[in-house]
Amino acid sequence: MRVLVLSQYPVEEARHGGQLRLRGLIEAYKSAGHDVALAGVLGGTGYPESVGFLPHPTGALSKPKYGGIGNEDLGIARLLSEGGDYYTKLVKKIEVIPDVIHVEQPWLFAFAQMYAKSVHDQKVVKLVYGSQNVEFVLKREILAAANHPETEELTEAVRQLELSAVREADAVICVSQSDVDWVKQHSDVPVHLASNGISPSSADTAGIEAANQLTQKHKFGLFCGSAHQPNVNGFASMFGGGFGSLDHDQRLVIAGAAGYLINAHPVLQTSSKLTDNLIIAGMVSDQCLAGLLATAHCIVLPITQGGGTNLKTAEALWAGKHIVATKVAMRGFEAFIGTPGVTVEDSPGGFKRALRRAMQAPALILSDADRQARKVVLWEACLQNLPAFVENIVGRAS
Amino acid sequence: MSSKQPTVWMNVTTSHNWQRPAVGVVRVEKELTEGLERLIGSAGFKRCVWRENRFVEVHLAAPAVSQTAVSAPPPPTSALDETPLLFPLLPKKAALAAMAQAALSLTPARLRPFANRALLSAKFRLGRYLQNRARATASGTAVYAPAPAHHESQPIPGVEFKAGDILVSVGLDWDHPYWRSFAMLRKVYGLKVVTCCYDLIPVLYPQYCVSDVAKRFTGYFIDVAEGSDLTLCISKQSERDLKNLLSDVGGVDVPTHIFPLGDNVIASESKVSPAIAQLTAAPYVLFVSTIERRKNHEVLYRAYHLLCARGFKDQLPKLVFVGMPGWGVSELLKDIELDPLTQGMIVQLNHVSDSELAHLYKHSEFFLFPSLYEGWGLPVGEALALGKAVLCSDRGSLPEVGGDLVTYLDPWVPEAWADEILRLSTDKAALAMTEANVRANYKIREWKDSCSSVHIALQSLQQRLFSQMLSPGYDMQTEIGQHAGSALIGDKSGWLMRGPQRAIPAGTYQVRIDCNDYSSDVAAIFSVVSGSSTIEHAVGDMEVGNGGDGGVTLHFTLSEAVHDIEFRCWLSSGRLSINNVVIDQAA
Repeated sequence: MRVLVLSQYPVEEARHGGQLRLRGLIEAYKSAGHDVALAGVLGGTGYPESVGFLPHPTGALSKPKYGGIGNEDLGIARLLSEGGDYYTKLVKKIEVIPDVIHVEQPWLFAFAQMYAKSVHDQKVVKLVYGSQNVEFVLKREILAAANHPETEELTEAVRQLELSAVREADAVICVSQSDVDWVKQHSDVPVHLASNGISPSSADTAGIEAANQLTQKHKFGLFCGSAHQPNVNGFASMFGGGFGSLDHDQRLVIAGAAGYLINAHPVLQTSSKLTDNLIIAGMVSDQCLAGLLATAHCIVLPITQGGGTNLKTAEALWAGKHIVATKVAMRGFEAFIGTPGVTVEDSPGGFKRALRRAMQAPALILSDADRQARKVVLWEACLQNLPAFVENIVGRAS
Repeated sequence: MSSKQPTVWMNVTTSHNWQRPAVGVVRVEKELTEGLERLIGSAGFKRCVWRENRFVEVHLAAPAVSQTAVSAPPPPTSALDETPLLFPLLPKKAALAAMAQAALSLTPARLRPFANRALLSAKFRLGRYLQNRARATASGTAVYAPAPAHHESQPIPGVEFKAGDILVSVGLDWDHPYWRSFAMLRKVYGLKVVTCCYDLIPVLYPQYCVSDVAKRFTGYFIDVAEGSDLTLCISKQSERDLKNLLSDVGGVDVPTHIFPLGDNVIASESKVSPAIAQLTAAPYVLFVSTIERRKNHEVLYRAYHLLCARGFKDQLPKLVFVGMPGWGVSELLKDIELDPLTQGMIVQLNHVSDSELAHLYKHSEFFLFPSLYEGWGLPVGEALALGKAVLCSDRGSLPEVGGDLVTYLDPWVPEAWADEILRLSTDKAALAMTEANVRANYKIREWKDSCSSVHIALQSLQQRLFSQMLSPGYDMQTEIGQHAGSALIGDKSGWLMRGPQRAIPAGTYQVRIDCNDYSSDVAAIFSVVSGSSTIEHAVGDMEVGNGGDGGVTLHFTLSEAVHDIEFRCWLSSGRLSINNVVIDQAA
């Protein structure tokens, strides 16, 4: 089976959750013996050039009709659906007509439909929509948080894109049960649940040393997050209003690009004592990140917005540390709520109290049975049934 | 090694620097100091003050810095018996704030908005400069990192504190830097720290304070909770407010003890100025308090305005405010000065002596206290102690002071105050009955009871057994291994673990050292030492458990407190991870 995967980001040097999921999907298809090609349009200027991808269309997106800054995902969707130069250029990136197009997120779904129609005389190409969350809900939250003047219009545009994808695809893949439920409310197509997972990694001596350099061997809680606005909003809402969860010799480390946004966020100035114990590490090497995960006493997941599942939650579960999370952060991993070391709190006060309790508790040591139970967070477990599901879709008559 | 019996150290920094009559917090510190010394005895009770970044002992009889201080610096040139300073010393930040406040106050009214803007701008720029400077010194790998805390860059202590001693600090602690050291004094020096929460007004009602102090005081309460073994609270209200704040921010759930403040019973009224004698010849009602927004003089003015407008002016006693005008009341005072309806009915007195105050209390018709919030409310107790009827706000701790002997009113409703003032002013029988009830039933709170209450709490604290959990990876050093989170791991021969060199009181102990990851050929010896590793208290070999857990349990007794207890592990062969060290004092 030939699989064409369409996305707005490459998977080399995968950083954020979307990239990691995409990489996991591709590896799952390949492991099942399928040919996989990746193509798309780079969703931002920060992504490196990559085979199969058109550069980010900065100039073209400057027109107001594409949604402006912060809505590049929607802008690219609109640009490609117009069927102009960009459509033609992206078609040229597709070297072999695939049996199935897996469209990760809804942005290139219209393109995939147009392309499939254009080659219909040669081959029936099935379309699989890979949902990462209910995008329009997340879009509304982000725009509303930024007081965007066109919040409702843009949200509705995303909702229409998404509804088109779930209704017109041959199958849909979701990351959480709640997302599956939403899709089933709007479509009768087959839906497959494939939670987000992680690749198992372990810290080496150099990684631990790098982490120690950063933390100065203080006992610390860890927050890993990309420069995704919900990460910042969640941090600000959970840790605003004064922060007393840590003793004077404990630290809260922020790893990942979320740190750069948090560093400029007013909550650092307004929330008493929040900066006193904060180490904003920013982007760190994979080796150092593994060291941080291995040496953290507690991992916090203060995510209050967004759908889908959070890969950082899977990483935290696999790391075997105390976890303090919101319900949103545990979406897709509900089975672990209440298991050893996992605390869920949605109010800022409750979250901060839970963090204090976790930081005062002895280091978490998981039993063999608990460790075994957490293997479900690995990609190989999360995606093991995906290829067969898609093979079945491809094998079905149209 | 030091003597066996724990000492109670009273931090008298506030009263030591205070040059005026002791009121409020200063009074509490002085009363508790004297009362506790009586109850504990001078052998187990010492005074200390914060000086040159450490505590130094002071003696009551001959004020001088103790020369017995072990790690204290030489006494500063300004010895304690020098000419008293004209003003109490302030921390740098507070001094800058005071200078700014003075500049604003001395600026002519028409120029004040400009001066205010200039000061705000200066404050912002200074803050940004300090922040940038702090960031510039952060490590290269971190965008932002906290500056090293005071306790990490230099040793704190001072006087001969020994593990198990109690430090009681109930002064104006927030105006000094020493509260930041409490957590370290507990953790490293084994001291038991007792602090006091008077109220949370700056956090709960920052609008009634001079500047936006909520953030600063929130941080203060968070730090003090971490640095306290016990926090004394002056009312159920202040305890509740403190607990709520700490719960909201995830702070330490510090143990608390409510103790009653003594009433200031004013007995003497020997010297009264002619002006006050003349004023008190006619009926008047009294409100004793600094004139500031939170105290809510405004509701009384409005009540009088309403009553005068309704034609009751002739039936009303005068309204006397005793207290210094403070911040944010200039417009109210102007209204009172200019209002033709209340003209001549409202009198302000400032700088009255104790005997004049006694005279004013004694001869008043009744007492008023409309404050919007209090942590306690001493004047209500004063009035009740003198048998006066009281109309009182129902907010904050005030119902705790007056119990059911007081008429409570909503401080935001002038009509309610007007009605009650008129009723008590015109119904002499009702007033007499209320006074009789107060005289018969109000039990004066005495300072000796306050001291006894605190003393009992200290005795209970003294009995609390030492217990500490150490994480080798964070709290100990290694010569041959690696810090890996809470654990120390190693696979070479040598000292895998040493530390933490902290103080620990005299007593009998069990220490459990847990190792949950090791190779089958592991061989290790654990020991407990002190006195710069010259005294060995216990030693034992690594024990391998059935379920993969290993470690050792050691027992030892210290006849005296030590300041550098150390738990060590010599790894002879194999691979070992030490995860946890738990020390428990036996009863």
